[in-house]
Amino acid sequence: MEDTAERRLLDPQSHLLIVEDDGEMRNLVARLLREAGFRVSAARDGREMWEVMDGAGGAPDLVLLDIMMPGASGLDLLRRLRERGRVPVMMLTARGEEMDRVLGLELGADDYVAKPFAPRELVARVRALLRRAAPAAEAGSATGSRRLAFAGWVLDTARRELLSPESVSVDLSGAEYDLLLAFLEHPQRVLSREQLLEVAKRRVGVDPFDRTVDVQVSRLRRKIEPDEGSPPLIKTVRGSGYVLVADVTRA
Amino acid sequence: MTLLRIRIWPQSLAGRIILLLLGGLTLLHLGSMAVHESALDDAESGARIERLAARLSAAATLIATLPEPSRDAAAHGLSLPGIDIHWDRAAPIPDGPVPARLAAAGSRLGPGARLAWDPKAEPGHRAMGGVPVGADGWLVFSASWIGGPGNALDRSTLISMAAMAIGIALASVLVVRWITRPLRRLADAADSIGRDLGDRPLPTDGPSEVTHAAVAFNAMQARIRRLVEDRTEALAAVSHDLRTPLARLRLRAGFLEEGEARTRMEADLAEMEAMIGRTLDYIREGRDAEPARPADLAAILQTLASDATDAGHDVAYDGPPHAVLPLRRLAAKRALSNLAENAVKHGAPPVRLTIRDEGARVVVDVTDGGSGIAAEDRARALEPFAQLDAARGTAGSGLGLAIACRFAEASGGTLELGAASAGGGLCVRMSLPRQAI
Repeated sequence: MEDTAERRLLDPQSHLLIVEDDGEMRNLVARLLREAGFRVSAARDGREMWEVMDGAGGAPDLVLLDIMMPGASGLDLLRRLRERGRVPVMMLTARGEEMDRVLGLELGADDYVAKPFAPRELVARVRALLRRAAPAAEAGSATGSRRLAFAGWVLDTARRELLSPESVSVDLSGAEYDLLLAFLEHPQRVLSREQLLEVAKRRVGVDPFDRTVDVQVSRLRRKIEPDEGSPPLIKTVRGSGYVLVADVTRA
Repeated sequence: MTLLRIRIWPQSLAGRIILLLLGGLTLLHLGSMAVHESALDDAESGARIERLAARLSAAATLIATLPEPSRDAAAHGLSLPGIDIHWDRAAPIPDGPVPARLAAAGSRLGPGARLAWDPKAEPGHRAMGGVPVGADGWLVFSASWIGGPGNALDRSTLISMAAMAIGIALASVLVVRWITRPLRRLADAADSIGRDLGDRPLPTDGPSEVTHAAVAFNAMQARIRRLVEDRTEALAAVSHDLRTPLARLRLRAGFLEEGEARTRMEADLAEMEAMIGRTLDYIREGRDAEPARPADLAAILQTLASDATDAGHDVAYDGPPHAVLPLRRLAAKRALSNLAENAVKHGAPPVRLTIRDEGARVVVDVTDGGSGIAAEDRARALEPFAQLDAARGTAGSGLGLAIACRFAEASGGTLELGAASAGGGLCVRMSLPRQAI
């Protein structure tokens, strides 16, 4: 396990596997990811996928799995991948089919991208997922934590849903979600504006600038801060950044 | 004119049946009464005339024995109720047409009797007649009428008729309501089918005509539902399949050189994607299995306002920091984001999202500063694929409001269009129940 993690950190060219039945689509996605600097294998179906997984090129660092495929569907393949291990899986789903998506995430997919997607978005999501997967592998967290609890709140990363201490679902924008996730992954550590700006940059279509971070943090605070009088969950550290003061437990 | 027609000829089936029953039975009653009265009349008037003839002949015999000066007083003394009798040397009986029934009565008064009819005389003296007393005078009488009663519509007849009419009206209202109840149910069902094609067939009981109608109606409802479902499936399949080539096109566009052409192409692709997405959203609304769970509506609106602000639009949320109610969160976000997008795209800034707590309901207002939608176009604007031209622009699939409307109705709420109080822009008001339905 440590070997793989080390290799992944040393080898800048991550190995991606795209499993997609539509040939044109498969080639386009492969070309896109190759141009973004990844090493890409492509598979037409489950059989080809297993060939790559066990092949000489080495197990992929991340699998992009189309849900709608003839024969064994993406969900079936996902289930069997999970029986074998913790390779990060990104599902490619049809837009808005929430139940498919939720099912996929509950079965253990790490992220999903809705088709049709913007090319830049796909690349950004792949990078983010690889980055997230690396420390998890480092820490030996085999199951992968899907629910992060803090101060009575729960962030369900599978459903991308935030639940208040009263179990009320609180909607987050994409930027707020990324920001909160960054805080939860580094609890009680001061995150500088520059670090948070990096998080914001992962979002597509936003041109982040310094002020953006403050705006996003204040929006996030408005949604999760308790009533006035209680101590804040996210504290401003004058001159350096922000810190989440709550303990985070993984469930 | 219309009002008069409605009064005489009621619009409702029940009213018409009641009117027919009432009219028919009244006519029948009047007719039978007339026949009855005339038979009674003939017998009675014959008896009266005979009595009068007997009285007159007796009086004439008596008066003939009296000296002339006392004859008039004696004749007065012999008057009957309703018939004045007096003595006169000459009979002052005018000539003139005599009604046939009066003439017939006169012929039975005795030999030499004369009768006259003077419609201009005082009431009670219009019928006059005389019988000769010996050779030197006349016994003259005057009355309102000789014979049976001339007018059948007296008080007691009216009362009996009124009682009968009221009785018939009451009974027929009850009976007719009972008969037409299945029809009313049919009408209600037909009315609701426009809004809801749910699988709720009509009960097929009641009179056979109505049963036939109900069966036919159920068959029609099933056909319409099947038709709509087929169309919906076809539309969903087309939209769904379009996404694969669209996804490829998007990727291909990404490989083009940066430049205006590529930017515009990507914008077009994004628009196509949004249209397909909305079509699928519209079809899916109410069909997905997302359960309603407590969710913060204020957070959803804040997210929408933040996202729109980041995209450079003047959109703000103005309301309480939290508003918790049971919601299908993803569906709610879809519906409300359509409203916010509509306001940005078709209205004009500023766009404001507000929440108002009204006890049992939570009301969301999405207002813009544009020119609004004319009152007569508002109902049409809520229909799927409706495109209002001119001021509100023609871009878009015409589904945004329809998606939101379907969401509101499926959640037990309502969606209304109105005018924003300030500036006259559009105000879309979504009202949702605080308790889950």
